[in-house]
Amino acid sequence: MDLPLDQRFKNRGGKKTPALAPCWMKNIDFLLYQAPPVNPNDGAAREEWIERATFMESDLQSLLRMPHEAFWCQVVFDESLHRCIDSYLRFAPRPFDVVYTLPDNVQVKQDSLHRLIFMTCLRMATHKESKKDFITPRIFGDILYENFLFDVPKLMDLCVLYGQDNKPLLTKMLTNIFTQQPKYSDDLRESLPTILHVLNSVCQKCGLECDSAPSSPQKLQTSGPTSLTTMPISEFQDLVFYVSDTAQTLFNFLDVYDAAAKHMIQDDFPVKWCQRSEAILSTLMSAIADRDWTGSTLKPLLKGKLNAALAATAHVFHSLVFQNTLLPLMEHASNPAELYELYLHLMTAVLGEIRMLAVHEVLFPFSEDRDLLVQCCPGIDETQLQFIEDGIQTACCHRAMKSEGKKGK
Amino acid sequence: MALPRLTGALRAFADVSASDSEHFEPDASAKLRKKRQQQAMRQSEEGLSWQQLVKVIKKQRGTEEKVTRSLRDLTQSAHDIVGEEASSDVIESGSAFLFEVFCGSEHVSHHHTTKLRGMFGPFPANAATKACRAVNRIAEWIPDDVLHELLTQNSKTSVDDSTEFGKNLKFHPWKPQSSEVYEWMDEESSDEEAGSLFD
Repeated sequence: MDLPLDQRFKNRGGKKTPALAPCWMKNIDFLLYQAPPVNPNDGAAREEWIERATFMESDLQSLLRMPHEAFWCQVVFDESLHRCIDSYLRFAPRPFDVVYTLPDNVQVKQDSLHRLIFMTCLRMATHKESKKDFITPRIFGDILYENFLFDVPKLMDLCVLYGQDNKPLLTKMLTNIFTQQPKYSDDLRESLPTILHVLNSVCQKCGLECDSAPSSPQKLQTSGPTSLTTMPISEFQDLVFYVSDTAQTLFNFLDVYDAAAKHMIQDDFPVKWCQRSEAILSTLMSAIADRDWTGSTLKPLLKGKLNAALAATAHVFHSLVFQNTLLPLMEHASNPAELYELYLHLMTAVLGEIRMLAVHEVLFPFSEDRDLLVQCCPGIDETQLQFIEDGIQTACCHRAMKSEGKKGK
Repeated sequence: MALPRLTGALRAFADVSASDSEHFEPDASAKLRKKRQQQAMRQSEEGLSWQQLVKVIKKQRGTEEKVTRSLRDLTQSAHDIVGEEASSDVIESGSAFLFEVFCGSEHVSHHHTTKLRGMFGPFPANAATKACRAVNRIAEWIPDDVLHELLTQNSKTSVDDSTEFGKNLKFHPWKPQSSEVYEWMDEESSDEEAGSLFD
């Protein structure tokens, strides 16, 4: 019977050596990825980028052609490969980034690298390649985690870069990674305060007060709007891009691996996520309306980014609510009353976030939740559901009235 | 400059990533030069070697001065193309590579420059022209059948026919997110100043 790779030994100079050991690693020295040059007229930069990409392409192809054993020795022990993959995940253009047309020869290389990095990560996330090429699942999970082959930011980057076009494969990858190594779920929980910290720091930039208490961020009437309308356009743009990236990253991650939502419920994260995001997005949109755009064509782009961020925020909130309340109810969980209470709490807590709520209602009508709850929790007091429904209707009417008002002007 | 990203903040502050990940190469050009040299060395292991070439030419023409001079011209051109600080091993394998590239070609074409740039990076054009001339002189002194044998014997061994992981998996290439996805959010307001859902 074939042994798993982690239990195999080979002869090296007469010495019994583990098959998975640094001594079997090849000296490849992978290069770091850099984003394609933005200026199409800079021939030297383009040539250098193509040369770099060609080396990366050739090295990654060699890696993917290696037999299972050699591949894993390289993947575990070659730090230049770790940095190469990480650099691609960090700096490769996102599907929602501003699109600039690349010269054909650059685009071909970029497409090739995009596929090769994905295949490398896919192979790294596979503990059983064939009947004879496999790693003990528990050891595989430890190898991934202890060598930082994957971590939460990398997994999120993967979802952002590949989730739109290669979701089924990516979902399998993430499911296997989280299943074989539960510590990634702990890391995800530990990442939540940082996500809120990111939003808090943007709140501060927007002149919003963000308490650590679970209350909604309060808008300051003095410094905030003034600084947002007068700060340099590049700084303002960075702020919008940052907010947009934050919302879209989380959305893509949950879209690919919705089971992650189960680990993102603690400390009222869904509510804080909504409150901070809404405060930031509406403040930035007001600033867009107030800023002087003479000589700039960026306004529609930034507005589109904020719209996308708002929709992503609603998607994230829905996923967190659905996975933690409605889905277990549908699956006949043993604690329906508790789940129902959690649903009520989450929905009631965001009734003030009218913009997010209006978008949420379009994407995920409350009536469907209501039907499901009535079906899964017979005998519930529907007064609270009615209260939520009224709140949502008010938010939608408020939005409609605002728009009508503007149109009437 | 890198765009601000959520995952960048998570790497920096969430304590869930490796702390030693470097994303800045202090001397990126030096790294590229090193890669070129590595590639030239690999080429020498897989392709025609300088020793093989010298052995064949000396067998055909002995140690005539014009032969020695042409070989020297070729290595000098390789030196100019590969770079000042390259080791003699790298220069010799670069010379053998130039021989393979230019053998049978009277002029330096776009195809040649692409091939050379792929191997060595940017290089002086006149060095390529000199190398091409030297290769043609040397090739003339080798009978066709010997030359054919010399150029084909190594190419057979360098083919890597192992299957690349994922080659048969369906992969959808990168495409930008359509901006139309969120256009519905603007529909309720035709007034540009009113702007989407944020009024």
